[in-house]
Amino acid sequence: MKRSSTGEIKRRGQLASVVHRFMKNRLSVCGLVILLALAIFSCSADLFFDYNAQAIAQNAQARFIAPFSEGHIFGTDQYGRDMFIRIVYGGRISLVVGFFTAGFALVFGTIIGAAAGYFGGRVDNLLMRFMDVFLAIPAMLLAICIVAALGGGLVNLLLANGIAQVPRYARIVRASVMGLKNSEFVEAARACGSGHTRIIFSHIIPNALGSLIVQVTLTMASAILSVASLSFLGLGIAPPTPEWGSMLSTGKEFMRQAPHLIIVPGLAIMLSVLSFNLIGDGLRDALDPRLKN
Amino acid sequence: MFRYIVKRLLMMIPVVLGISFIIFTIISVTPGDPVQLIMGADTAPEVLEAKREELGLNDHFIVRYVKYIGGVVRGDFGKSYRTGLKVIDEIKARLPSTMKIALGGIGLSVLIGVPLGMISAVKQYSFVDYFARVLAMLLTAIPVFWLGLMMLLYFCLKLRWFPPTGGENWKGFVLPIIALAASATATQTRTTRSSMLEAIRQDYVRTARAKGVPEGKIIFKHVLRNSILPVITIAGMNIGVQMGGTVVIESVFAIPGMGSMLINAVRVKDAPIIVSSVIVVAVFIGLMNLLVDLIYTVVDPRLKSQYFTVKKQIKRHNRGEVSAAH
Repeated sequence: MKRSSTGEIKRRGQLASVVHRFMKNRLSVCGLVILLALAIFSCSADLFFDYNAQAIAQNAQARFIAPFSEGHIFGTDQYGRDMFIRIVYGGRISLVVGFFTAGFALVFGTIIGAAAGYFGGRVDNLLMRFMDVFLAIPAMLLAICIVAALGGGLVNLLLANGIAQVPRYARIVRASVMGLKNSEFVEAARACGSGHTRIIFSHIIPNALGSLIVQVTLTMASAILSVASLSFLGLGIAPPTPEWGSMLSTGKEFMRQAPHLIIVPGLAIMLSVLSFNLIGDGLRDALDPRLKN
Repeated sequence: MFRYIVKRLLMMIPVVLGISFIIFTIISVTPGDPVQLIMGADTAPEVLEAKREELGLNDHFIVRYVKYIGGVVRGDFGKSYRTGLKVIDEIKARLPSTMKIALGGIGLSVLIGVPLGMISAVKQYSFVDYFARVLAMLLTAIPVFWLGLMMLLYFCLKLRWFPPTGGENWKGFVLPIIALAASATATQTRTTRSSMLEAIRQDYVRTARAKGVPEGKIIFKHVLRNSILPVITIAGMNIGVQMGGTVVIESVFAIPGMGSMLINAVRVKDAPIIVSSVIVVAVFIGLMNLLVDLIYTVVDPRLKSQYFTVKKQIKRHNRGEVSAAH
C-alpha cells in the first residue's frame, strides 16, 4: 500500500494489484515482451512484406544463403525464400492456433465442467465418464486421430487440439463449481431468484477465473507445440505455407548442408512456447492471493 | 489387495470400449474413403467396389464396430486395410521398440529429475537451484522433435557417435530416449523441488533438527518420504505424455515402432490399425496408472487403509449384523 500526499491509504483495485504483482516478476515481463513483439510483427507483416512474392515464391538464385549475410538475417531456405519473412508469417499461424485452441477448450470445457459440477448426480457421472475416456488417450494421439478423420488444414488442427484439451478445462471448472455451489453467496443469489445459468456464469465461474487464465496460457503453449509436431509429421499444415513445424520437416533433408533451416524455426517455436510458459508462471503467482503482500 | 486390483482392471473395460468406439466412429463417419486412399483415385470403380466389399466396408459402421470389437475380445485385432496383414502381428513386432523408448524416457527423467529437484530444494537459491530452474524452463519449451533433430545433427552427422537411424542396436535408442526424456525431466524436477520445499518447512522437520537428527537422515527419511507422492504422480502422468512423444521421436530417428505404424495408417484411414494402437496405448497407460496407485500404498501407509477399507468395512458390517441378531 502506498500513502498518498493527503495521508490516506491508497487502495489498489483487484485488477491493478494483480497487474502490479505480475510486473514485479521480471521473467514473466520478458515473456510478455517477446510475445507482444511476435504478435505485433506477425500482425503487421503485410505492411512490410509481400506474402506471395517473398514467403511463397521460389527464387533459384538465392538458395541456402547462410544467416547474417546478403541482407538475410536468418538466411534463405532450399527454395531461396527469406527465412525471417517465413518465420514472421509462421508466427501468425502459431498465434492463431494457440488463441483459438485455448478459446475452444475454454468455452466447451467450462460449459461441460459447470454442468457436471452444478447439477451433480447422473449428469455429472455421464459427462465426467465421457471426459475420462478422452483423458485416457494422450492428447497427441487423440489429435492425430482427429486429424486422421477430418484431414489436415488450419481449422481441423484447431478442432483437433481444442477437443483434446476440453477435458482438462472441464475438470478445473467442475472442481471449483462443486466447491462453491453450496456456499452462502450462491444461496443468496438463488434466494433473489437467479436462474441456474446466471448463478453459474456470473457468480461461480468468476471465482475459477484465476486457474482458468493460467491454464489458457499453458494451453496456448502446448497448442503451438502440438501443431508444430503434427505439421512436422506431415499431418498438419502442408508446405509451402510457412508453418514452423512444416518448415522443420522440409528443412530436415538439407540439414547437413544448411543447418540453419532447422535451427531457426526450432528456436522460434521454443521462444514462443517459453514466453507463454513464463507468462503463465507469472500469472499464477500474481493471481494467488496467498502471496499477496 | 487382490480385490482392488481386479476392480481396477474391470474398470478399464468401459474406458477401452469408449475409446475404441469414439475413435472408430470419428474415423468411419468422416468423409474420405480408405479404399480410394489406398488404391489411388484413378482406379476403376469396379475394382474399388470389389475391394470395399472384400474389406466389409459396405456394412454400416456400427456393424463393423461390433464385428471389430468382437474380434478384439477374442484377441483378434483384425487385418490392416492396406497391407492385409494381421494387426496383432504388426503390433507385436513394433511394440517392443516403442516400449523401450517410452520406459527409457520415464526412467531417465526420474533418475535425473528427482535428484536434481531434491538438490535444488535443499540448497534453495544456490547455483544448482538456479541452474535446475533455468534448465527445467528451457526443457519444457523445446519441442521433442527439434531436440531430436539437433542431437541427430551434432552427435550422428558431425561426431558420428551414434547411427542416424535407430532401432537396430542399443546405440540407436540412446538419442531418442534422451530427446523424449527432456520435457519429462523438466516437470519431474519442478515437481520434486516444490514438493520438497513444502515438506522442508513443516514443523516435524524442525523438531527432527532440534533433537539432533543428522541432516542426511532428515532429508531422506522425513522430507523425501513425505514429499514423494506428487513426484510419483507426475511420473505416472508423464507416461501418457511419453506415449504421445514417441510417435514424433520415432519419425525423427526412423525407428519402426507403433508411432510410425500409426502415422502410415492415419494417412489412409486404416481403421483397424489406428483403433488397435490406440487401445494398446490406453491399456498400457491404464496399467501404469494402476502400478502408480499400488506404489502409493507402499510409499504411504496412510493411503493403504483408504484403498483397502471396503473389504474390512463389509466384514465389520457383517459382524455387527451377527451380534445384533444374538
